[in-house]
Amino acid sequence: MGHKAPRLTSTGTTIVAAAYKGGLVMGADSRATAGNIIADKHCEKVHKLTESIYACGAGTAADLDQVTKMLSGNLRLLELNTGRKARVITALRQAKQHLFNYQGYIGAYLLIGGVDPTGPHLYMCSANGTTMAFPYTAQGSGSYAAITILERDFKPDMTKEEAESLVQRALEAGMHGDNASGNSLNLVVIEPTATVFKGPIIPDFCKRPEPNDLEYKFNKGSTKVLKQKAYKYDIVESMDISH
Amino acid sequence: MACSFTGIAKNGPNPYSEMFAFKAAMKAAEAEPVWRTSRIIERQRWNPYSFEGGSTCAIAGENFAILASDTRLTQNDINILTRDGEKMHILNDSIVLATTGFYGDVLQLKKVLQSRLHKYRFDYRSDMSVDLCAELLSRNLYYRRFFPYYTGAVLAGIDEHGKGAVFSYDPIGCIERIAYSASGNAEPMIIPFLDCQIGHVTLSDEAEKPPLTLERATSLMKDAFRSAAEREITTGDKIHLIIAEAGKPIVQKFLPLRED
Amino acid sequence: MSIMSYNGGTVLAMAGEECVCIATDLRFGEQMTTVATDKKKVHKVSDKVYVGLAGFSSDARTMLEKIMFRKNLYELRESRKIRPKVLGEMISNLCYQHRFGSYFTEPLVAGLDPDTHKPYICAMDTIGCIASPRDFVAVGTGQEYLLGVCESYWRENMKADELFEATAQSMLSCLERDAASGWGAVVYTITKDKVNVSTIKARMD
Repeated sequence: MGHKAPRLTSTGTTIVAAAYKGGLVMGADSRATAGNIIADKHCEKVHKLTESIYACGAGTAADLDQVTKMLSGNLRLLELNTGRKARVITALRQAKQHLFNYQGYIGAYLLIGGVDPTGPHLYMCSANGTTMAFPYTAQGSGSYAAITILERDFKPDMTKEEAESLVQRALEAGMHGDNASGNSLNLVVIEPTATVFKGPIIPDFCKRPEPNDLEYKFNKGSTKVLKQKAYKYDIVESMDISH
Repeated sequence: MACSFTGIAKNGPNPYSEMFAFKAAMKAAEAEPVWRTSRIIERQRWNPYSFEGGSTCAIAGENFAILASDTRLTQNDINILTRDGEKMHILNDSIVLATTGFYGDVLQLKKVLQSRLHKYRFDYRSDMSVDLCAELLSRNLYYRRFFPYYTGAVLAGIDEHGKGAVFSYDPIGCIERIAYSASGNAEPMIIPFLDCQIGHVTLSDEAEKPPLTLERATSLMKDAFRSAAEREITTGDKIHLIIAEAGKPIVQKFLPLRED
Repeated sequence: MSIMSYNGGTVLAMAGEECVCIATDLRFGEQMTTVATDKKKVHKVSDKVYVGLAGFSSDARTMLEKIMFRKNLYELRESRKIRPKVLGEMISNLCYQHRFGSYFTEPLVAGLDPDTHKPYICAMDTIGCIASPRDFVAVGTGQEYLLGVCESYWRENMKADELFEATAQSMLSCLERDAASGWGAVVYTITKDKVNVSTIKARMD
């Protein structure tokens, strides 16, 4: 057998989305893990695709960054070429065709949602290209905890406030019950007229309950320096700095 | 020429041999199909162990020993089983066993030690000392050399001279008496911190080196766990702190840690 | 044994107030054998931008050459100094280009913005997932050891000399326990008017 593959940063995640009357709320926690350790406490898992289409991602972090970057680029080009707002189904189809091409090796599990002229839409897109439409759903390792809240409290045609609170509570359940989710949460509320991004919101149980007892301040000279050299910068006058 | 009407020569090579060989090959393939690659076999092999995560740590001082652990038990590194599991076990007035690893083995190991300690009380009419218990634990672990108790044990307490004692083990009974020890998932995060703050090994000769008092050791222990809980996903919920001071009863405390 | 710990080595970066520190160990090994004891994993990219490359040494070197090539091209084309954030993004894309056969190196960028002197640090995995927190980042075989101590030693708005002590002590604590790193350490303190390169006393094993 060959060597062990290097440990990649993955977002063992909680991502949640729910539709309400005339709009959509999506949200994610912000923890990125590499094995047992937290690689990033405040990583951004709610990706903007267009002004009114967002994607939340779970899975391999680099794949998610790059796939959503590609999607947002393509959709912007499409909007400029057609002069119309991109539709959610377009984003979904581009994502699924890309992911299907790579047979699941691109580890991106996406929730793609947004509002377009045909109304609010929410889709799930798996790494192998499977897609489904939902009124509400959760993904990632914390989805089991999150979905319990959604199943209990989701109602069709909720108000914006109800939907926002529901998504936040579902995320908090995921962050509380799942080791690989936590730290803080980000929400995005998408409506036909405006998109509002909220975050980072730090729930009470994600705050440090007590500060450190001692202050670990090292006085100058705590470390023995064997050799030191200071390098002053060259002053470059010819370089154009008018940017 | 003697021929049967099936057209098979009686004295020639057995015409069924090819068929028999084919049957044998089929049987072998069924027993060990070619698609069962080594990787799949590896994946499907039954594993008697599981790991419940978390971390423990112990510091020995001049006349005290402090132990701490978190109280979270985890399944598959992701799922929280309980937020107030007990990873530390007070064996008698001067011995505490702190453990991580496979919780099933932890409970069994604790039971074995407790029964041996109980028997010792009957036989010798006094409690076992921490040095003896440390040796006993080492032997119990090595007894299971080829099907080990999968535990990262740390045994601490007050020895016969009233000094703090910490013993560190590997799963098969390698024993070492040291000033401070940690075990579990956050061990790599806690140990270098204690090296710096208690061992003072990283500081220059001129630097201030505060002595290890009970208060300082307690504070360091708490801070080590607070930092570990920030960066290690299976450590959290509560710090369980046990302070054993010479000539005093054992004190237990619980402090909050982050729950996410 | 993982290819990521074949050569060993650790890099740490911490951010302070208008200053950043980046520290490296000096060991170069082949599994358990130490081959060289003067191998810096931190490289100067431009005056105030440094990059650390932990992991498999051959790949780290190839990666460094690619980084320098792209950075030079960028500075010629744009006729301005590269900002650390741009360099981070550039390296991330470079890493992701090799998604299904990646270079076994984890890059780390630390530097000051050439104009605003705002500190920037970031680390990424082998396929370029950027983590850019405001406090500290670590890559390499001693990552776990570092994250634990840094969590205690990092404080808000440290000045250059405080930051140096915190970085150095964290690095030394890590070298105490990481067998694949060691043989001394070098700390680069990048401030707005100079870079201090300090070789610090560490355990030599």
